[in-house]
Amino acid sequence: MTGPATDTASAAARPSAQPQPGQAARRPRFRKLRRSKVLGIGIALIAFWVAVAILAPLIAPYGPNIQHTTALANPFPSSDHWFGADPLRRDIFSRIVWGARPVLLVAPAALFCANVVGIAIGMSAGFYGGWVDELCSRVIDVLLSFPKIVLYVVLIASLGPSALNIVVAVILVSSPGIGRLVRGLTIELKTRDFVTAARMRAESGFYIMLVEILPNARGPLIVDFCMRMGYTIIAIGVLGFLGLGLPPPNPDWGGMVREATPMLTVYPYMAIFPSLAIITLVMGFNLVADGLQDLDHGR
Amino acid sequence: MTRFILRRLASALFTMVAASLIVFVLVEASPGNVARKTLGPFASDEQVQILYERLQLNDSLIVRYGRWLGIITGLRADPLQNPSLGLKFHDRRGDRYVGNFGFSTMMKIPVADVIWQRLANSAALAGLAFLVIVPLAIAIGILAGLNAGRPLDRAITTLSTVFASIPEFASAVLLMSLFAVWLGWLPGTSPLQAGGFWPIYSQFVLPVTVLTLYVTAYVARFVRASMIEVMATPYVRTLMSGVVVTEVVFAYPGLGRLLLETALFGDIALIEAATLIAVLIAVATQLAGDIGYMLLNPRIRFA
Amino acid sequence: MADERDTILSVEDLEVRYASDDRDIVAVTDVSFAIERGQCLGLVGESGCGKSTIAMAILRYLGHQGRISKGRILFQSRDMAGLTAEDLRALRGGRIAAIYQGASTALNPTMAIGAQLAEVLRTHAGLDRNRISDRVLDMLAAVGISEPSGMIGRFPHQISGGQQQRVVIAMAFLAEPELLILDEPTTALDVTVEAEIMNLLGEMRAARGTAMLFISHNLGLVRQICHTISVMYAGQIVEHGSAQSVLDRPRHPYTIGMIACVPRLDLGRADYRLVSMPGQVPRLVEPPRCCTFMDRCAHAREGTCDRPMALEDMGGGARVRCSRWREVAGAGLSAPPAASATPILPRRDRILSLEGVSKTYEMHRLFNLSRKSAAKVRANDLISLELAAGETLGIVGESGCGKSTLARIVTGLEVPTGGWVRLLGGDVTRRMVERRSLRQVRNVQMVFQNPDSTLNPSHSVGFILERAVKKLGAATGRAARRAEVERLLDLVRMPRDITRVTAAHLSGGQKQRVAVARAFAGRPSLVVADEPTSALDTSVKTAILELLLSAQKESGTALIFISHDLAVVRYIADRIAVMYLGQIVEIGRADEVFTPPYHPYCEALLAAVPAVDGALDRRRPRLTGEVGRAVANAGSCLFAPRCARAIAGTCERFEPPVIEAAAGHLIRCHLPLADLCALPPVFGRRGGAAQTVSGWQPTNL
Repeated sequence: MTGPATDTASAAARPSAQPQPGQAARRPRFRKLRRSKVLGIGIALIAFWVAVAILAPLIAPYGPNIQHTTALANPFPSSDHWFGADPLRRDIFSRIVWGARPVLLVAPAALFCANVVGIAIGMSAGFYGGWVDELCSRVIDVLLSFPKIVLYVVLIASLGPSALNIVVAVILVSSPGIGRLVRGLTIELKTRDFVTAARMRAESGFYIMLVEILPNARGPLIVDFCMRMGYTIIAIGVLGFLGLGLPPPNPDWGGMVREATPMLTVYPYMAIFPSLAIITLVMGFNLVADGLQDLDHGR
Repeated sequence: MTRFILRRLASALFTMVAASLIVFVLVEASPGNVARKTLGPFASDEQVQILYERLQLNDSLIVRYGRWLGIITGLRADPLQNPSLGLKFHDRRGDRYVGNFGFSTMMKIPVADVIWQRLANSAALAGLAFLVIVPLAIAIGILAGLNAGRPLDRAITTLSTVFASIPEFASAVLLMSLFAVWLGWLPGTSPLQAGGFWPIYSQFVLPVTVLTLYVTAYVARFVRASMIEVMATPYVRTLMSGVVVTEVVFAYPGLGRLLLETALFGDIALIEAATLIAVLIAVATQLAGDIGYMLLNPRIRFA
Repeated sequence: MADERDTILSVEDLEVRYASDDRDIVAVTDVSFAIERGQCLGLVGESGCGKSTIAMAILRYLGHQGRISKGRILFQSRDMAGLTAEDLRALRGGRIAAIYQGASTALNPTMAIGAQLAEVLRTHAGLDRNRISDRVLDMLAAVGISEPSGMIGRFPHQISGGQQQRVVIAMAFLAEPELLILDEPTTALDVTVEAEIMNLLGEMRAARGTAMLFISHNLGLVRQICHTISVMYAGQIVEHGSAQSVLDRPRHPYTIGMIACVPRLDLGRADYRLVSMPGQVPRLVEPPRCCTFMDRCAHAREGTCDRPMALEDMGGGARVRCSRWREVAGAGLSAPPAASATPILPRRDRILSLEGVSKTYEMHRLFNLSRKSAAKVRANDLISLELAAGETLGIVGESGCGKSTLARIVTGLEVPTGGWVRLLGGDVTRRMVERRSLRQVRNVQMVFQNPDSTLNPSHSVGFILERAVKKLGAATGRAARRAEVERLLDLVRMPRDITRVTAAHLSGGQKQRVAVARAFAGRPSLVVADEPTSALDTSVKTAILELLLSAQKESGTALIFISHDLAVVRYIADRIAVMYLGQIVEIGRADEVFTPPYHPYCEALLAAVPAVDGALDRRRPRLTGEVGRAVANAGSCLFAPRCARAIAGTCERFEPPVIEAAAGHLIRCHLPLADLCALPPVFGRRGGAAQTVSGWQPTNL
């Protein structure tokens, strides 16, 4: 073949000459997804708790706050109360099932808001640079210098314990970290030539940030979201344990451990079951984060 | 190099000042609250009103912040010690000294009388944990690195993920059930009081173990994400967060438990003091970490 | 074959597989070769042909996924498969040394140079301290480092890329290896530095008798250093023979095609035509059952080529993996006669003019904010240029000469510190792209160097082009934009159904095609192409060049083409500006710049480029030293320190005048025009050479 014939022109004429790029490249990802055991277990754990939360009325034998006088004599696990009863004679199994709801509602909602705030701060800092960057970075540095639990405790103590205030606290605690991550990603991505090409099309800064930069930051952001879900669920548990969680009588896993701790010598199961609930849920998110990271690095 | 250190110092100072402003705003944003909390729930509205005026609490937030900063740095006298207020607050150090955090309304004594002992206790706990964590983390890191991609590396990864998924209070409860309740080998609480059944050293075993498990797993996860350079700081902050929870579980007389108790009680002066000290430690470690990193990296050193 | 003992390395029937998701990928199959003491074997081919895999297999660096599935590798008659991990470690960096493309990754950034070199001697020779430091200093001198004692205390980041590569070479030779593996050792370097490194390697080999395996895609370099060449394609050796015979009389259609893709230094666009090769290198999942090149071969025949090919002996040690090599050789290379020479365009409307443009960077020392202007570095110094509609201006020079800065000033990504820039009749001197008028923005577009960065990997080709059409073009309405996108795809010869494919899934060449389409979406007045082909393989490079030329012609766009590759610039440009340290040292028509009278720097640059064509006879004034840093107010000829023809007492003291050698042909030099005219041409031509194109005359003014 002579003349200015070109590789794709002939590829169109002879399909065998070239792999079809679109389909060929997408398939292995799904295959890997199925092959990654870590990712599979993580997804299964999360799916389990999500199902429990949604189907709580069907799964839980009793309401979360019903006090069973019959359990007074024997609070130990029995056929009536699989995980036993708590100090207030409420069914622990039912409370754990119902308790999946607030966690799985508050943590993702709060983290979603934290991501919106963090992305906005980090992206403008990284993209515009200069004094905007200086200001945002300073704020981030200051907020990150607080040990997380200290910030949570002070915030909830001064705002008062409620679901909304937990969301506010999660935003204040998590968004600086997200902001720092996004700032770094933005600084790296804005040097790419496709951003320059967008500038040479007279695109607005807003368009460049949202359409050109943000989609390419999604990989690290998704991993970060999963890791943060783990930390946030732990933090909500800790707050409950410290007595700063959802106000009673809401079923709150951390609060359940707190109520049970003084009776650990006699009824250790009262603390152990809700602890296991938190551990498995957190582990689900951590495993998904690990699995996704492996997929990214294994390419 | 000196310039680099000076710049870091300035930035650390700025962070401290900004953090103190945040603390102040969070705790003392509503002035009515301040007077009420200083006097306690049994004071009459009239008394609260008098204190409100005496302390000039209707001034703007930033003015009050300036005064507060003045008292802490020993530049201003603490007005609460003024006998005419009738609060009977008395500090043997006088009313003007560096580190004057005021009076604890919960304990009815100057904050300085209680906070340093508690800080020392916390430092002992954290220090012991640190002594275990650092060699352990280094060993794990080297093991994982030498066996990169092999089963041992993967086992370490999985284990660190599992342990990083266990909140300190959960591992504390589990370990307590096992070693204190079931086996009876170790004490379930650590009040650090000598003369009891359990010697002091045994009271450290479980708290240190709890801290080690979580922080080591957390650090191992960071190492994996190849963020070794920025490790020093999250390391210490995670440890500090862990200390708060551990102290609460084991009834350990440290700064963390004090912070929680005062936060629940609404003891303004103690909350501020405990939080500021926590931030100071975090900022100081960051500074030390940055300078240490610079000394290890010729690319920065020779620039 | 020579004596058995003289064979350093022999590879027999090697096959290497990489484990992939579900099945293996055959990276190398049926490869056999031998290298004797003091000999150099060149492995050439495009990326993905398995060249580097062979190097990795020899060093057993195949990682967890790769494995040698067949055949064996003998080093000094010893089967490497029997070596323990301990033996291997002793061998690597000892009796087998390797040098790769990125010198910086071979050096430990936290260790001083001297300490790193000493470590080699400690581990492999076991010398005492004084002997070690003597040997290190001797070796640094041997690799051409002027002040060895000053070098040992430095850290890798404190020295230039060329010096780093020298240190790496010193490190390799310190261990006195029997075999040196060179994997694209000069690809990241400038031509003049490359020429020096190649000379150094040749000298070291001659002095020490080291056997070499030289891996490169650059046929000119291979010709210069290798005795024998193996051409690799899709994991197989498709042609083997002496360097001269393979390059002068290629037999395999792939070798023929590769040579036809290489732009020539000695000829202009009017005199020949580059022929690009269609298709891509296939990935094998099993040993091939037909000729691997069949899909791309113009000579392919059903019945002959669709069965496994064996290496056929052509006599004289030459072998070829093609059953039709006799017919292929007879057919010869039938490049069509050149496209009519583009005459220099009459000065129509000037779309761009630069007048005395300069750009000075303030050097910030890291962590030093208070002392602002410690030193100033000039990237550009009084550049004056004019560009007419539809014209192509090539800009060449070594890295750091300021050519990219010039591009960034023209496109409004940077603002000059002095001078004036006028674009489409408007002053844009102080206007970053964000502050230019919509017309000025739309009419200047760019094609970038790095294919992996040029397109947003998250977007589909359709989205990318449609957005460009919407923002830059005149088409309104969805349907009109779609039609326009299809026109663009036709323009860059891509199938229309590629619009649904995400950019991340395209090959490098395809990405660059889309980038060209995007740049031409609004039929701009000016396209600035900054090294658009330097990251691409030879055959793809040629296709992109053709594409740029045809797209430019179609929309009457002016083109600024920036490259370090002189042959490419000569092929594409009407006029060429040669830059050195921020100055234009020569500007003129392509043929004027490449023949005397020319600036001594152009002469040196031309001499440094290795030519594929063996018929070219060249004198080579060697250019030594490296591009320095242009510090403010040099007040002299900046090239004087490296110039072979510098006039003592003049060049280093006074700024050179600009000589007008012909209308529009300007040279910035102290040498009188008569002397410049008398310079011998770099390219002489021996009579009766292969591939001579009739009608070619050296243009002497």
